[in-house]
Amino acid sequence: MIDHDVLIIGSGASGGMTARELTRRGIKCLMLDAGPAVDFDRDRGTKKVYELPYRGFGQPGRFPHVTQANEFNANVWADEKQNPYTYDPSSPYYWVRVRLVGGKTLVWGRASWRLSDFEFKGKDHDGFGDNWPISYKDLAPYYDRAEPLLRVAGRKEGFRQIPDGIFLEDNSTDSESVQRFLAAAKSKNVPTTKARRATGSLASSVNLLLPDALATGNLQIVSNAVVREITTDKNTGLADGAHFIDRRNKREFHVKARVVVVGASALESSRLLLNSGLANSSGVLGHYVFDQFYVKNVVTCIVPEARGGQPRRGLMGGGGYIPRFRNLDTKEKNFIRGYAYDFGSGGSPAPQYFPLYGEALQKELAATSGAQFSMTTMGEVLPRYENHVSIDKNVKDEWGIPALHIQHKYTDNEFAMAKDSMQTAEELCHAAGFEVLAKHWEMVPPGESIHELGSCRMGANPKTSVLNQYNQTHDIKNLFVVDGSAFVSGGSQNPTLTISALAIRASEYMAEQMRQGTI
Amino acid sequence: MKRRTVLHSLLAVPSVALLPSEAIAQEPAPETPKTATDVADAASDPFIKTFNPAQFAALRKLGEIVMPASQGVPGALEAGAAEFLDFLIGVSPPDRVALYKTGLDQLNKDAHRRYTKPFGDLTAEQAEPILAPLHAAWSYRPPADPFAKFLLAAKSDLLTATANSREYIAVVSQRRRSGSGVGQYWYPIE
Repeated sequence: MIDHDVLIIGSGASGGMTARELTRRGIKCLMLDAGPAVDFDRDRGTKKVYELPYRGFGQPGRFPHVTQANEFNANVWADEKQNPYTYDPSSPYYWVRVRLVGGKTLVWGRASWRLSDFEFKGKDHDGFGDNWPISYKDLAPYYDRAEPLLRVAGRKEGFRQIPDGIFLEDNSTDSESVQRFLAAAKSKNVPTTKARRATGSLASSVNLLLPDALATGNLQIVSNAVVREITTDKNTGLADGAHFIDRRNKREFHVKARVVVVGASALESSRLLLNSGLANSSGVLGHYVFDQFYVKNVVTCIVPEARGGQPRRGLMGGGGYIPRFRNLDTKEKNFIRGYAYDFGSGGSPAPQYFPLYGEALQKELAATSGAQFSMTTMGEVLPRYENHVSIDKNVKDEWGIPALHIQHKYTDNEFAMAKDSMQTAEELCHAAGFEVLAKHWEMVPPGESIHELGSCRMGANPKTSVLNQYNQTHDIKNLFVVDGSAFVSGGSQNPTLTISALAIRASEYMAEQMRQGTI
Repeated sequence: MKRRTVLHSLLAVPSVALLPSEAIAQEPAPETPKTATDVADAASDPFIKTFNPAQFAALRKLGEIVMPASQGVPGALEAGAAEFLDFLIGVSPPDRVALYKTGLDQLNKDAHRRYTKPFGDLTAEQAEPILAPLHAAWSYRPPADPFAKFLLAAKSDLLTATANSREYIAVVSQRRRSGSGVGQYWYPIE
């Protein structure tokens, strides 16, 4: 039997970061991932859309819950038939998964914002929910390390709600349409900044994290390893490894390790713990599921001067970000917490927005080509006990592993926020002199933002949380969960940067505990 | 040929390893030829299997009206959009099939009621009142009326089926760089 120091389940942002941090300290790690590794030369190529079997529409019914899937990228997403899950039909949940080495870092949007004490100490601010067991200053040094690794670029602004960090300064100039929008926002005391994003042609665990870990000689990665259960030592109760199944031929294996780290992504990690019957003395494992609600294209506008089909140089292009501005120093009547926007200039409005057809539609599409300005809302979803995942014993995946049942609903707080975001976006665009072509406040279904969080939250009290402040389970000291399932609340900031920073912090603690021999 | 003769003849062929190095240097590197192939639409007519003749004629006319050819750019008719949608809808979930069949029947029913002929025989002007739901302002939620819902879905599908066709792209790609229809494709990953 081969023993390993640390078994890491999952290879995305959290698993990759953990592997990088542990292996550079001389710790021998084995990483299991449920999917194959991408060979970018072999697995990608160019095709013309009419060469595809479904002319770009995609195979009907193949991905009922993955709106991001198209016929070009369909093979990236986890197959929904092989990987089923259930929900109450009245509360659909769109669980979007990637089962490849590198996980969702192969496809993420790269937005990289820090959380602040408006999130870490949210309860202190407005009385709702629970504080994290850490504050911003506890995590700040780890954000400082994560940002350069992810090559984050942005602009320092001094905003309390999205603290500045160590990033490449973005000094690019804004287009005229964006400048007008920024001025309109400023006149209404709405903050704006440049996007903060991981840069490079690929910004994934597979090129930024795993190569460093492999270079130490201390990391072994096994692909196509679908983990069924974490195992424990009968005498000590400690985690001692995992059973896994080869994805391709269903051959079964067991691997032993001194420490087990789960970074399989939020919900998937909780599914594994629930199926293993571990780390749930609190009874809250699987509970407090949340994400960030999205109102995609909350407003779609036309920049009037760009009409005609060929906007003049410098008028269009670029974009930016509006961080949370509600409920910081004032209190809204209808909701707590807040929302952010992405905005972008350029591109062409979709035909669906025009109540026209035939020649009239073609003329309008030609006239508005390149003249679009649009905004998308990303709002905080309150973590609630009743939003939870559990094991559906009646449904199993391709490998015979019981599937997840997901129960998640948005509530009045989110709906009120979404409506407010539509009104505000419309006001800003009007103030900038844009024509509002379409507006709405309807959120995409829960899960579709691919920012699922919680279900294995951290906390100081073992009776109300699964993990301590170092992502270590309260129940089993050599079992850690390092992905987004550890979040207590999520704000409106994209979570990957925080997941990465938490994984570095947890790894540092883990390595020290291993050195001391306490785990 | 006897077995021994075959063996002798095989042994008589020198292997590459036995050739002098000069001879290897003179040989061009072997290249595997890429065989040029085309898509089926380029050379054949598809079977119409999902819609009956009246429904299909209505869909073709709807395509001609919603996305007509213009200034040398192929429209839905030239792009075979209706023919493609007959296939696509036929392999779609049952509610999508029902939406289309019911909607196309409704087009013919309205055309008969107004003009005593099928929708496929109408002019664009005659079709105008029947297609009035397409002039409704955009809304995030699809309309409750199944006929309006069908018209919006068909409009979107006909536009996409046309814009993604070989015929349309062949023309548009000559006029603007963004019209090449080329995308990064992910093969099945093993």
